[in-house]
Amino acid sequence: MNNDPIIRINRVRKSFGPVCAVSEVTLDIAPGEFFTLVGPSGCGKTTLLRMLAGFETPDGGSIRIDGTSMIGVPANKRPTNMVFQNYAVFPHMSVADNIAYGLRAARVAKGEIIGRVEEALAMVGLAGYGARSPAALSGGQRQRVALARALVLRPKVLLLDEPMSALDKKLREQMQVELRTLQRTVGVTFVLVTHDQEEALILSDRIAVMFEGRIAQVATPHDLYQRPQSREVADFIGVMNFLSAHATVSTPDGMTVEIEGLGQVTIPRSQAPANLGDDPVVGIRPEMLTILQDGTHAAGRSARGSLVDLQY
Amino acid sequence: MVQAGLFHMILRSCRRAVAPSPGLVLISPPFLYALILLAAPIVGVVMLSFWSQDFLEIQRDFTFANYQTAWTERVYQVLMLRSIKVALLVTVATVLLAFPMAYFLSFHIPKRRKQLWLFLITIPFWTSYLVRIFLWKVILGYNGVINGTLTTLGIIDEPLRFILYNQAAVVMTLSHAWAPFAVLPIYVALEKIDRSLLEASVDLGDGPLRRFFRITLPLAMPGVVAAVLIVFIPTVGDYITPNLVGGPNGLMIANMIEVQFKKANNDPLGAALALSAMALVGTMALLFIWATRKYLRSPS
Repeated sequence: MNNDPIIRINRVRKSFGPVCAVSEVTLDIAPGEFFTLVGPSGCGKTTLLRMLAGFETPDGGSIRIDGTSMIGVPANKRPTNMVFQNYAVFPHMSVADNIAYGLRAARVAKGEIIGRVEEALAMVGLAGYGARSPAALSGGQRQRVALARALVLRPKVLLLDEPMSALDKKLREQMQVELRTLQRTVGVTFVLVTHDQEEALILSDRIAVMFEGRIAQVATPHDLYQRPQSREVADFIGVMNFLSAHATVSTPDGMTVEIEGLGQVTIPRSQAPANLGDDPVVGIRPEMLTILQDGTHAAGRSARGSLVDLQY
Repeated sequence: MVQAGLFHMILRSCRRAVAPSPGLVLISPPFLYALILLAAPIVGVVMLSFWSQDFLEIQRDFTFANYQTAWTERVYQVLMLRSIKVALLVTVATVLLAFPMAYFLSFHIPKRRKQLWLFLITIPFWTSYLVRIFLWKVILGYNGVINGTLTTLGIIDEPLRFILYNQAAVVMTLSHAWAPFAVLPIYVALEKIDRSLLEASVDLGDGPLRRFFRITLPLAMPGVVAAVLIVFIPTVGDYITPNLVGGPNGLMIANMIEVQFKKANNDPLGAALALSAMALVGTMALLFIWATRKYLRSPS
């Protein structure tokens, strides 16, 4: 596998009337990567995905997929395929015809189509479902059809637009595991759009967090969770408590801050970006806190508090 | 269709409970109305068609003679076939013209303007059917708009005679009269198509033309079928238009039915002709629905 990015997005812009959906986004995605665009609704993630698919035209900037510029290339000529939010399974065709749709568009030989459709059905665990009508399928099964229909074309990039949002929690968790396994098996680059940060953390190799058309941070799930680079990212990913602090000492190794009620705390440099001012905000994940009985000896730093409410 | 639906509803309500169900009570006024104004006259016509005319009297002896005449005599055969031919031409012309209109309306008009456009499409209905046909006479006539314009421009020396009083004029006039009836069901069917299906089709490699034939048209078929039936069925029985713009060669079966009931004073033959036309049209409509059934199954 070479290390040239399969997708290069360079300073891409897109506005809808006065609304700026995507502004100056620059992003590289590596081949075989499971990449996720995550952010609150209206942050421009879907617009960015649709520009990759060819359904929207950027106002400026460039998109290259596998080394080829995609400017002016219509959606049907791009090496990408998409799984739509509502799956967009063709209601007037059988499952097998749905999966064969793209192969027929590409004028693949009849005999080969049959084999590849069978293969794709087996891949998504729907072997024997070929003759069924989509109306007879559950939401999860329709999603598998949509996946098979896209993957059977062996695209360089598979785009997934909020594919899990219509599934119930249990099925969603199951499909997440399957999607991850499937991506590792086929080795295709997946670009997923979701508003669900948990889903992003579970599935992705790397995540881009977007706010208001800009990319706030691109990192692995681990780094994103452990080392968010801004307060808005920290707030969006997982749960975070924010404490105001005052910087006292700053060295190349770390930063010592005075936190109200906690006293002096030294934070290692890896957790504290260099460009913080004198009054940084300190974030702490709730799972890092332990509640102790009053008077118990605490191993680390402790602060006094009172229990206000208890939820299971 | 409406009657069948009503009947079905009544059967269901009857099966459910002996006590008067609210559904049954609710539909009983329209059902009575349908019974008196639709079913009773048809029963009357059916009975009439098996009787015979004896000068001013109706002979109430059962006979197939009227049907024999209706199906074997040359003039009735010719008129029947011509009616069906004209109706088919009108249907094809109307649907072919209505589809692009409906498509444009559904896909290229911004949402907030659609109501206005639908409203504009119904404007022809503000004038009477008769007035609209007369208008075509004015347009196509010997001293009409087309001939007048062409003569003034010096393109022709003498007015064209072949544009009025023939079958082509009937087809043209009827196609115009029925256009909105075809536009509306096709428009509704196109509106119901999930736009992401069209994107999916392109995403999977189809160009606009193939997408149209593989996705848009099949999914719009319920509307097309409705449009075909709405235009075809009443057109076969139309007698005003052929009377006014058809000339001798444009006359259709309904004109003959009118003649039998009025001038020829042979009500039973008229009834037999009417029922024969009805049976023929009904059969053709059912065959058409059967042939297009795979597009009519409602998804989900």
